[in-house]
Amino acid sequence: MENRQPDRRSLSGFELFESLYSSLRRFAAVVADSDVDPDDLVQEALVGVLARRTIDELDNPAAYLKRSMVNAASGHRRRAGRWRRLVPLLADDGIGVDHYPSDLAILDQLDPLDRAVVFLLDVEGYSGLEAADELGLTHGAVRKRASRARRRLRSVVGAELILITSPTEERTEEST
Amino acid sequence: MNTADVLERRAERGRPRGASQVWAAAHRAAAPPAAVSAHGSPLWFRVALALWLVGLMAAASVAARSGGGDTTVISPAQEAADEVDGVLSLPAPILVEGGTLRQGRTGVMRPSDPDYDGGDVIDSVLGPRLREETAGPSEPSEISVVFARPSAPYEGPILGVDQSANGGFRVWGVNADPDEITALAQDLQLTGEISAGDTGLIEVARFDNAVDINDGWHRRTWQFDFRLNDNLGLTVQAESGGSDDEANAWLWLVRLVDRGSADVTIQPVDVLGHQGYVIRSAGRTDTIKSDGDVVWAADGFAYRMTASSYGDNVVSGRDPVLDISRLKIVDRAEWLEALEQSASPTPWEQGATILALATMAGLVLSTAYFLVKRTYRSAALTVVTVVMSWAVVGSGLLLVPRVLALVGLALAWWLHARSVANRAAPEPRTGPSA
Repeated sequence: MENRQPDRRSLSGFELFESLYSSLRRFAAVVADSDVDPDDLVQEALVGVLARRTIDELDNPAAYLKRSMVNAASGHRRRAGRWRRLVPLLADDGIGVDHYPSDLAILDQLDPLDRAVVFLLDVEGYSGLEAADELGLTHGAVRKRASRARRRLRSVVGAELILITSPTEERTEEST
Repeated sequence: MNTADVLERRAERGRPRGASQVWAAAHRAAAPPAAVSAHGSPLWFRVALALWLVGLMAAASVAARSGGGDTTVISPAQEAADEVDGVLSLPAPILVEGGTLRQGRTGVMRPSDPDYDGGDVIDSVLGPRLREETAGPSEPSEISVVFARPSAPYEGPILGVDQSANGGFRVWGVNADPDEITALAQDLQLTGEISAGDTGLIEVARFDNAVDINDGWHRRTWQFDFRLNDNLGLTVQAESGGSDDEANAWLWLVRLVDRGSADVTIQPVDVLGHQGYVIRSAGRTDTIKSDGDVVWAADGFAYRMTASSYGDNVVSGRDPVLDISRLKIVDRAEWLEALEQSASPTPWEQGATILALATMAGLVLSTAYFLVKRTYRSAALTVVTVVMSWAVVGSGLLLVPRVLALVGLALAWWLHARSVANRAAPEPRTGPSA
């Protein structure tokens, strides 16, 4: 398994966070709904850590923070309720709709955890096992969520899907 | 555009605030509200403050009881004593070979007679006269008469009769066994005018209102306490007002035996070229332990010397005859110098005074500082310390008030530091700027 963690032996808490910040923010930008600032989600996850311990006390701070962000994003989503999901539909009157629909609208339709899975697999290049370990899921759950998310996205985007899988996973190519 | 592109675009949305800002904001949000509590001092502080207050109260209470200022109470017998004509003179300049006058205000005691005028010399040497509280005698006698043999009176039995104010009699004897004293007492005439009757003795002295010296301080008495070493001491008392040297010796005898003690003996002895007497009594219960008294009279003063030894918190008597040879007459200047040194503060007292001054200055300056810095609780603490420290001035307490003042100062500064820390905004843990 590729070691995605920085060498923590000589890093202070801030230095460790700084080294993870870029990837954490990108993750937060995907996982959070479109009306949530990615930095706010990162901060919220970090507050949860700092309230009880220091960041360098965590075995895998990146994974811990990502799971926290997924939970937080899910919580935001639940609190927003049906109204948020209705707004894009109500606003969609077919006029001026981009040929390529906004990624904001597309991804908001996915569950935050699904977004996290497909992001780690298709963008960050995680293997199924790595993604499972990162998000605290089983490998089977990762595969299921990834399949569901991609199917949903394909139905909307209609673009060729390129999957980066591990040698043990089935490689699937579809063309429009 | 594929899914990955969509996700990639999503991942880059917005303008990153940077790790530093997010880190700082997270710490601020994670800090507990009112992180440095301004209330609820730690337990140790509250306990220390309570003990300190109790200590101050106790010190002030002791100071109030020890008094300071004129609280002399003259015994009724002393009030009725013979009036002193004119100014009381100074006693003979007697010092003790190998001994030093004890330092501190108890080293030399001057007469408490309000009319006593020691002159500028003594006042300048010993400072203002201290007025001592005196207690009246336990059983004041109105008349004391002494009978002895016409010749060699100190070689035979000596009888004394004390007639109290209510008319009662008390007969005592010296230089004789109890049976002989009893037999002689029966021959005394005790009705009407007290006289020797058929005892074969003659009256040698008669006193009005003889005072038991161990019940109080004489209005006309000096006392000099000499320390020979850590364990031995000599005390020389000099009472003025006597004009008859021999009568003064009888007066001492009357005083020293007027305590119901048995087996009293009196023997002549030479003291500094004067006729002196050693008075011993078995079973003495006077608080000033001695194994006898050496008394003599000279130049209008009646002198008494006692010797004591100290050990294991017990004061024991010593034979004063052993120390008669230590007595020496010196120059008046040398005597005054010895008095002055006895009244000088010891190094310990000097150090305590310096410490007290420094502590008081520290308290006053700290109070001003706390007021400027608006840490009013600390200022109140130092003000209380100053007031209570001032209350114990002159009480004789040296160490305890100084220690309490320092403790109060330390508590006040701790409280000040805590108050200042509480005011400061909690600093977030920020990393280096991006």
